[in-house]
Amino acid sequence: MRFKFGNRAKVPLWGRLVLGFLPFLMAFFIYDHFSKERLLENPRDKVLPSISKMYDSMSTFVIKIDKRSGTNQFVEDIKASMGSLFAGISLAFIFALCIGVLAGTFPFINASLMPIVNVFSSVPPAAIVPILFLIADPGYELSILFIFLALFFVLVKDIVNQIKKIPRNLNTLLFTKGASEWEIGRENLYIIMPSILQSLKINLPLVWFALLYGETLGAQYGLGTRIFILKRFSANDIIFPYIILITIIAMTIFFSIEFIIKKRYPWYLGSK
Amino acid sequence: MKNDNYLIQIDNLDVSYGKHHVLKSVNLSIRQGEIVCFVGPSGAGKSTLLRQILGEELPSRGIINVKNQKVRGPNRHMGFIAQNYSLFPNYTAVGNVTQGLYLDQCSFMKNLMYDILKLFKIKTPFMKSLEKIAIQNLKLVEMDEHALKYPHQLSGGQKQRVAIASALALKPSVLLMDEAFSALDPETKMAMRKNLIELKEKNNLTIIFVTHDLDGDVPALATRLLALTPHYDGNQSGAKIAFDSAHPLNGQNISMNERIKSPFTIKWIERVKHECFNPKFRQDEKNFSLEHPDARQQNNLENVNETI
Repeated sequence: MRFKFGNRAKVPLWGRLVLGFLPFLMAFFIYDHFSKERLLENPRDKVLPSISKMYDSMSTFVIKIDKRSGTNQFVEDIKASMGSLFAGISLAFIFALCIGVLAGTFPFINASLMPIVNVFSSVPPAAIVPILFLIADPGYELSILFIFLALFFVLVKDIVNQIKKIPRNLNTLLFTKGASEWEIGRENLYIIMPSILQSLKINLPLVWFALLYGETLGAQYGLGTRIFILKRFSANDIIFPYIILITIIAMTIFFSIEFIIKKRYPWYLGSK
Repeated sequence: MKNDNYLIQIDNLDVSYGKHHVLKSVNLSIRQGEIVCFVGPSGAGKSTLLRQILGEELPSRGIINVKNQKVRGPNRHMGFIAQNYSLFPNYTAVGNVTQGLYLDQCSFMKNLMYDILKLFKIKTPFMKSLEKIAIQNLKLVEMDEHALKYPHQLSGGQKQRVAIASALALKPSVLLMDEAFSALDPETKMAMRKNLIELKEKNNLTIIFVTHDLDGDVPALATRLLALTPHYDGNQSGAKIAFDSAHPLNGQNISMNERIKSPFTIKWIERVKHECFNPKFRQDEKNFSLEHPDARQQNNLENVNETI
């Protein structure tokens, strides 16, 4: 009884489900309450649209074909954002792995690369927008570049740190097994891979911020572009569902990475 | 100075980190098949000497030859087992053993190709043959039943067994063990010692074993005992070999238990404790029992034979 609600309490699965669901339910009711209150005062209020209004607007928007372009904007937005997101993440991840493993394994490469990585990682991408406009076209290229810059330096620094954390004995062991310097780099990569995926998972909000910010700077389609355009018309009945959609996609990516770590690297969580 | 009779030869070895001298003028020769235990107080330089032989660090002065070749870094002729981190966390027990075989037998690109095949769970006949060798090595240390377990699923003793299997799979000339059994419980320690002696006999291995366990590891394993003590001459000027003696019962066909309980062994250990761990005795360098190991072994054998 003493530990029933203390720091050693064991919360059963149903308890966790109920407790986890409660804040969502509360948020829903609070929103619903204030929305109704505002709509009573002004039935044409756009700030807090009703749930039913959001549902109706989205139902129409999802299947609506844009007359000028002849495309479904909703589908195009998702396609554009996902394309930029995966291109940005993939480029940053692959380049960071190459540079990070080299800098973590070979001290001379570390000495020559890390100062510049440290300096550039301190520069916020948003502060160098005018320069980025010279390198990339405003739109998808810029979004990809933003994601790349937001993620690349963080990952390189993390990879170098993770390699430094590998016990020295393991590298010695590899030499006694006949490994070359390059093979040590490769084995280091295998050891740090799940940690880097974790790092990517933790930095996903940064990636989303970079994507949405990049899209607002001139992309024709994209989840961020749509929110930016609709904001001018205070069309919160579509903006709010878009935010929910972004959250769902972000959570899907987050849990997919977690699933990959659990499935592909079962030793990682066990050895923690 | 090369001598074909010795597997390892160390001449005038000095190791210092800046102004701090760790080892001073160490001369040592080790024959094939010896189990040499390095003992001494903490900070005496036992592990440093072991890591110098391993080639992990370069000496400030002096030469280390293994198999008549100057040591330039850790290489595949040496097996290494430390107290911790002797296994790769990302490989299973069998994976840890095969990893060495792959590294030894395949080029970088071939290894990369095999890693891709492993990702899709495809096994070529070559991969299967390496796995078979790995399982045979795990059998030697009675770990074949745990072949598919990851290191975090193994106990301390099991991990060290796999580490030994992993090292032996490459058939090294020398096995270097840095306090390899110190984290194990007494029963596991005994089993591991027995196992190690059997493997040594089978493979004619040379083992260098750093330990603090003068009453356990040394009487059970050592065919030769080497004690290092810090050497003082006003300022600390690096550790030296203070005691180098072969086990008095070397060459006698007796079991490990008999060897441990023998009064000769007990006396031998007592002498090391007195000479190397007694500060008053240690102050006078003349007291050090430094004899050529062969001569020492000869003297000991004569004493033993006389008593028998």
